[in-house]
Amino acid sequence: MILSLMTALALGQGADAPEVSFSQRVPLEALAGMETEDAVGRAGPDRSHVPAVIPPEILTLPAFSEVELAPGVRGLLMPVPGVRKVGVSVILHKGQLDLDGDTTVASYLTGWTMDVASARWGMAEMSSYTDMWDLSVGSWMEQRRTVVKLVAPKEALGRGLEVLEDVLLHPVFPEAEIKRQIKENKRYLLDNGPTDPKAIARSAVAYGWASPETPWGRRPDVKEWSKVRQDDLIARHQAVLSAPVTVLVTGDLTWDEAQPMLQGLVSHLGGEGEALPPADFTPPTERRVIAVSTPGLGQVQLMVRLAAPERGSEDQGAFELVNQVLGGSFLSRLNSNLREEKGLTYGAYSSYGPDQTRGLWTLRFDTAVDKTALAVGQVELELDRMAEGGMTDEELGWSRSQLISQWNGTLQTGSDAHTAAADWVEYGEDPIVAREYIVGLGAVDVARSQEVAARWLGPDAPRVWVMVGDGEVLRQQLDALGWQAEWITGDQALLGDL
Amino acid sequence: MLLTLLSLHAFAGGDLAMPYQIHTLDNGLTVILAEDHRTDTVALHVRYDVGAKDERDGEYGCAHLFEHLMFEGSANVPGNSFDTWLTAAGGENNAWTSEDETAYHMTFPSGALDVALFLESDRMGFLREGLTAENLANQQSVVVQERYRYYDAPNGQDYDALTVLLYPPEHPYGHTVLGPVAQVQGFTEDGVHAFWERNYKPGNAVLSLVGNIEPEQALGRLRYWFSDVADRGAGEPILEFPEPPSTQALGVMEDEVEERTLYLSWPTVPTGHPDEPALDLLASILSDGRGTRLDDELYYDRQLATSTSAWASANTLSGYFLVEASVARLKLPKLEKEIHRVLDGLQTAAVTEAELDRARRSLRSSMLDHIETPQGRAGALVACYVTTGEADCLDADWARYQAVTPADISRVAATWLTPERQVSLSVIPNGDKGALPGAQVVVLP
Repeated sequence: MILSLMTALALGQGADAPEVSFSQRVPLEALAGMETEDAVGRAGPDRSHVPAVIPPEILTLPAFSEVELAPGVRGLLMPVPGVRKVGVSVILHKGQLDLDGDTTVASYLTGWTMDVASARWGMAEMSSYTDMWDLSVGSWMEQRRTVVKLVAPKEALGRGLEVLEDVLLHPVFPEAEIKRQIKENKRYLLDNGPTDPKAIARSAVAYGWASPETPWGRRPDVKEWSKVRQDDLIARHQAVLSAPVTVLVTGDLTWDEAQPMLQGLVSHLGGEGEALPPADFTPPTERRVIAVSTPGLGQVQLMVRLAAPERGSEDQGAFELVNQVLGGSFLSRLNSNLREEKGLTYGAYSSYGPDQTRGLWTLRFDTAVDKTALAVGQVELELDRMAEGGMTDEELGWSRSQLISQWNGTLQTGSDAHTAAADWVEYGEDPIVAREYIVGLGAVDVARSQEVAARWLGPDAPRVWVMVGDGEVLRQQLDALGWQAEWITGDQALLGDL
Repeated sequence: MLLTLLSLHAFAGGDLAMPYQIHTLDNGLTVILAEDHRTDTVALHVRYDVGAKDERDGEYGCAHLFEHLMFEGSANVPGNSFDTWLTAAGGENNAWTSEDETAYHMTFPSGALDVALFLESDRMGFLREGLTAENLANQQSVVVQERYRYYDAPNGQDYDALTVLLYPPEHPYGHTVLGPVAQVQGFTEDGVHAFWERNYKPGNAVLSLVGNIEPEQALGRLRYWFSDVADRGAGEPILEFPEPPSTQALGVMEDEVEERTLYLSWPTVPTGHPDEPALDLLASILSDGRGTRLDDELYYDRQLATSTSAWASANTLSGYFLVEASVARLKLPKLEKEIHRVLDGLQTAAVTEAELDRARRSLRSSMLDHIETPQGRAGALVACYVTTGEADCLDADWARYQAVTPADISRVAATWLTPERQVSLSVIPNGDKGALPGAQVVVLP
């Protein structure tokens, strides 16, 4: 049964939910006060100290407004006043593992080619129509979900939903497109990828980290690509349509406006079942060093991956701050050390990706191949230093400020807002939980940062290092480090043959 | 000009107007202010009229080096305090350099306005005092690493090679933005100081502030923080330069690549030229996804090419049109014929209103997306001002694109994309023989 807007209001999550709290901007009067304080009219401005900062408050967002759009179809709305575009994601809670028990090429291609053409629009017509009306339509399949996403200007939302509905319910999976996708993927795996040092490094670290026994580490199989047929995709598409569904809507609109437009779509959707988590993951238990020789290149691509806290775990917030300080920002210790102090690299950046069943911390940078040992030594040193001592108060302060600013920028555009909301929905969160997480960063202190860093980055934590560069020089550099490496080729890296 | 502000794509609807205030400070700095109270963010964008075009021989790469040095300390902002203080206040920053200009941009919470203005004014007024030999040497090394990382990537040298072919060495665009390694490594403290004195001054810059500000208060803070930044005169416009050659040129470069790539380019028009809109739209009609001519013909339908693109670039002094395609097996002479067949089709099968409408709408949507964020709007206001003298230029510029007809598209293709003016670059795998015949090896400086 479809819940009315009034029902939602009765739950306190509808139109009478608090509006986005822009009143929490820094009061402009405060800046006016600073002006008089700073002695305008003197010979020059006071440059003897850093001017005072009025810290921003943490933006408050309303909870999702939840309605039942149809049996088995949950609707979530996040109103975002003032943005130009509306986002609509239809999330079918059935994915690759539900269909095939594994991540397969057929299920990947099903998600990837749904949005290419539909019963109403051929491939060229679809591309032209979406360009004409500024509609961005995308589809993909994950381990446990299939998603079709629309971002459209509010005035073109009706047209966008027509496309979304046709793509979702009546995709045609053109043979020509399937063949093209197969050809392109084979070309990447066999031809272009093995000549690209960055692609080699990415693959080597992914497959070096994840065993082929887990869906996270499934190796590409060129023969499997060649075997995929249109019927395989059609069958999988039909299977996911029976899943329970969540429809997420974000933008400058209400359920009163959105619901009538969604009716045609949701009346064909809805199923029973439970949304399951992705596959479990067990990180490697030993350190690995994987080296790939690419003769003649002046630089070496370096990556290192470690296990990190999972999404929602107690360590997540503290580790996010640790990442910011270690390598997650321009000001980080690793970038400061390798770039700003030693001029060894154009930039060293780390990322922290927490999923429900696994967390990853990955650092990537490049340097002159004959500086490999020096640069790698510095990374090991910084990892140890963080694991032993955690962060300073100053580092805690700026890393927290960065994350708060990112949070406060969540609603800058309609696309940004939808991306953030979709992320929360993926992990069973909402704007309230997400804000609590940001607020909770304030409770992390130096001792806590050290405790978390020691647990995840300590010397016993398995690390997978990948080095892609001129083999002759790399061997000397590995000798200088006293490290033994597994040597593989670029082709092996791309195919996960290690 | 629209294309110089953004990259491709999107729709109609929405408003291109950008209300603003403009002022000139006593020291000659032009400031543009615009309110946007949707979020707490403020964007600051400073554009100096200095790019590769302003570098003299021996200074090649210096404007780009300053993109690094401007964050390395000034008289009252020691060492890397620029980043430390701005980041602690919740801000972030970056910069970019082109043939024509250098832009420095920050975003920060409104309560950090004074920190941002303190930092920006200190480096505009007093960078020289903070510039040490150590900083210089370090950033020279970082820039060299930056260049190597491009060159080690497949096709990472192609655009530098194209520059060599398109412009004579004495042309302001005749060298690359990053500069040759030898020159970058050869910069001295004195030379860098002189470059800064000549170019990084209020009279050669435009600053915009967009976001959660109240313009009168913001103007007061700008006047306060920039009050001790001396007026060092206006910039030095480039008045004379050689025209790019309008004769055919063929170059070839071998690289560690798997596929052959062909670049066909033609010298065209500078920004503001009457033909600029039609050339921009022509690029979109040729290559903007399914349903566009080059992409359908070579990539989607016949699958002769593994990638295709078309681009119209209009800079201050000159411009060029570029068609690019990569192939796995096809010989490049055959690919060239196929590309010309598509280009010739612009005369035999005239561009339709539908094709033109799609290209226009894509462009307009891109613009609307671009100016939705405070930083995008801040950049657009400055770009408009330096290009047209009017900060809120997008509606007027859009009118130029609306006036383009299908006949204009055919005309600009026939006028500018002629075989006798074509500059081609074949990039082939090491040892391969598939280049265009007669191509000369391109030597990068």
